[in-house]
Amino acid sequence: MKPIRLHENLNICIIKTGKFKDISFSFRFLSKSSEKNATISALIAAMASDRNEKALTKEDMTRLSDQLYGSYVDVRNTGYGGAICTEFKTKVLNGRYVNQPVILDGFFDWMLTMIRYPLINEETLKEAKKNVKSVLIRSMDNPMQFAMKKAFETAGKGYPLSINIQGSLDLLDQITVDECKSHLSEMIDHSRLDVFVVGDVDEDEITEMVKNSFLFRERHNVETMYRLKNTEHKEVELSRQMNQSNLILVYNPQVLPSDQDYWPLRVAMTAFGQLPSSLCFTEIREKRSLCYTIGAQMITFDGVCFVYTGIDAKQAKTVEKLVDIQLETVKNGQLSLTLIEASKKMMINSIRQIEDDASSIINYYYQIFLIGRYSDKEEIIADITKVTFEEIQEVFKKMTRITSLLLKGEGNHEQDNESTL
Amino acid sequence: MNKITNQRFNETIYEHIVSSGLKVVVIHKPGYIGSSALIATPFGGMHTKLQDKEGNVFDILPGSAHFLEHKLFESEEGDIMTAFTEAGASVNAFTSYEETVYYFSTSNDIEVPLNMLLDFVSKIKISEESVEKERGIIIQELRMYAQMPDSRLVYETYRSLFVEHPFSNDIGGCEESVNAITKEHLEMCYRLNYHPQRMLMVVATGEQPQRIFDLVEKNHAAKKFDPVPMVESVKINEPNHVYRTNHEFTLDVQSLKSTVTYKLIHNLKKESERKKGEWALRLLIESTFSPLNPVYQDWMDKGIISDFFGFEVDLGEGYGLLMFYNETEQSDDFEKFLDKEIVLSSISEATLEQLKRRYLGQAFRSLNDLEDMAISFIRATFAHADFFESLTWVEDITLEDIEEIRNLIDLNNKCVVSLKKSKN
Repeated sequence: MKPIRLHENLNICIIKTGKFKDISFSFRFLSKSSEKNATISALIAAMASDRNEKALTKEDMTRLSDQLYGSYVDVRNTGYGGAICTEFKTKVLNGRYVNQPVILDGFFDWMLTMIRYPLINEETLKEAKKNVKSVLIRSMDNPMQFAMKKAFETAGKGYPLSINIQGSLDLLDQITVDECKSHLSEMIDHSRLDVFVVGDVDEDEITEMVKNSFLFRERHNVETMYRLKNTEHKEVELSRQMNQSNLILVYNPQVLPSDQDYWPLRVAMTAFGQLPSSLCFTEIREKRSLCYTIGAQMITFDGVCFVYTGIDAKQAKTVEKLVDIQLETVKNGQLSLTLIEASKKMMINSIRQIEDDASSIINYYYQIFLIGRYSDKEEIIADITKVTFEEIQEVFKKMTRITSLLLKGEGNHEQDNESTL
Repeated sequence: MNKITNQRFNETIYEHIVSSGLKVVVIHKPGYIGSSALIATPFGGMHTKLQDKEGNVFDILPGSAHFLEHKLFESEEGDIMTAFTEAGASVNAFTSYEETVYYFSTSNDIEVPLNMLLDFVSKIKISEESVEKERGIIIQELRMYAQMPDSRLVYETYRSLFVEHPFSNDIGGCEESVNAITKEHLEMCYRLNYHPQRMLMVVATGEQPQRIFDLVEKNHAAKKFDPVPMVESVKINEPNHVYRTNHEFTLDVQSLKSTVTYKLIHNLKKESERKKGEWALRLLIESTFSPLNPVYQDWMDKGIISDFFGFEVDLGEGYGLLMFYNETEQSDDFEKFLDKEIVLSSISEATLEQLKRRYLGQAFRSLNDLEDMAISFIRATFAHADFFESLTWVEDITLEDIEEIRNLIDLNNKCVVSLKKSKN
């Protein structure tokens, strides 16, 4: 799958298929990652999905959306290393199911208004600030999310990894209407834009629509991948009144998707902590019952990996040691060939299955386009298939732990008050 | 093989009962690369008392269905999850209040994982030692959910609302019940609930349906099954009143939340009646407590409701609830606000048509995902409802239905649950 380049940093990718009941559209704008940009982007996302200059109230927005059989625009921000992708995502029912073949006519106008003309003023900004603040506080109330956020702040100090894509509580109140408007205008007119469409559409019609709406300006790309230079190990212990503890271990192998050892690392990480038969799951959960949740993930564009688990506070050191033992198992070449082959198989399985879900298709191809190394998923599958035992062993030697964070559960001191009939 | 085509949704399903008595349904999705196969038993967290034809009652400890789900992944031949991984299939399971479901998805050939799925749910081989080991994992799971504010809030709400109904237990039980579950108890639960005649298999795939039926037939023909245990869930006589009218609990959090839940007393016998009733109430509440109501913005601006605000309606066999949730420090004010606005709630013909259009769109979209579609199919079947009909129940709702169903809301029969910040 190759995107059609309409202009410098303006690409469109249309996947024509009749197997879904609706048509998915995704407009992805790329801007540079910073704490301030993340906060402004979070506010824009909140305002853009709420009201716009043609639908001045929530009620108007809902009515327009319902006319289109419940289509809504979901605006969200995702971090891709040094960049923030602001995505306007929407779906519209294929008109043939409701005997309305021209459903797309009104839809284009509605969708472009959502993107170009969100209602940004003092009133909507005030509400957006309140809502973004609630989201930030809510995510801190979730112990695992909080522990991860703190671990990335420590591990990625001075780098995009430390930036919370949901925004910053410290900066929130300082953001002005003008800053939001100027950021939005810069993003819409000058940022790299990738448009994805999945469904039964007329490709020429869609391409024309995108050309007419977004072609007229010079657009800039943003570097996504970067190497985090922090290598010093930092240990952090925080506490909370709760029964379970959360342990996050961050590693910095400095391996990026553009590197030759990227796929060996992906295969190794799958075997290490992404499968029910992975080393961490088997040794720590299944054999020793030390946790319910344990897993290992990669943060692709930042080139780091991490292990996360929920455990009993007393077992923190034991679990940390056991994770180290599993790492050594891979480094020492004791990982079984069967597990390596199973990991490859599962990775290939999930790559093939993306074709059955429109959002997965879009997310997958967007990553591929950002990486710029592949033109087709079969090339990736070929690269996964040829990963060797030795490459896995070698790449895991780069796994340097840079942060160990324990959010320690200090027991619950809950008070229960009730009145019964 | 029975073929059912629904022209409106452009979907075709095939049904067949294999010789063991297992009903197999193939949702045929040409063009899809992957396949999802699910096998389910109508045994979940709410089934705490079963009775056979002779009147023998079997008490089931809370959390047993969930514990059993964990243990079924164990086999004498080796780890089942590993075997699926090696076959290039991703396997998992879940337990809800109503059912336990085991499933896999794969983009590879379906034969090997399908046989593995049928094999591992067809027998139970567990040791005392492995039951002990699993206890530790399940207790960590319960603790994880207990400290997550939203799931804990729902759990405490159900505990407040229900007196006898098993919804007052967590699906996974509590640490005490999990500690009381034995190997023998799990074996009894298995024997009573995992016979092919009680179960349902749904496969959503682009594969030819006849091949799926042949594979299941061949697999089950090689197995021997005991006679089907004729048990059913003992009817629960849930009192009309709530268990706790007010309840506060604390966690180490910043966001304070509340639920206000009205207990709905109804006598709707059929699933279709209950779900249509559920739709009618949902449409009324949606028209009032959503941006469709012009004063909604004012409520947000004044801080009466937050962006977290929402509601749930559930009308099931022997129970009913209308729950509102919000982030607020003033649960009393939230309760008074709801009581007042529920009385004033209304819906116009135009709004009703607008909402029907929205939910019809949602119904179509729900057919895009193989697993979601299969799960919805299982739930409709276990509730004795027709899957395709269930997708369009909302279209039947009239303003008269809505006026009738609103009478179920008794403003005096409710519980309020508040999450407060724990004191250091």
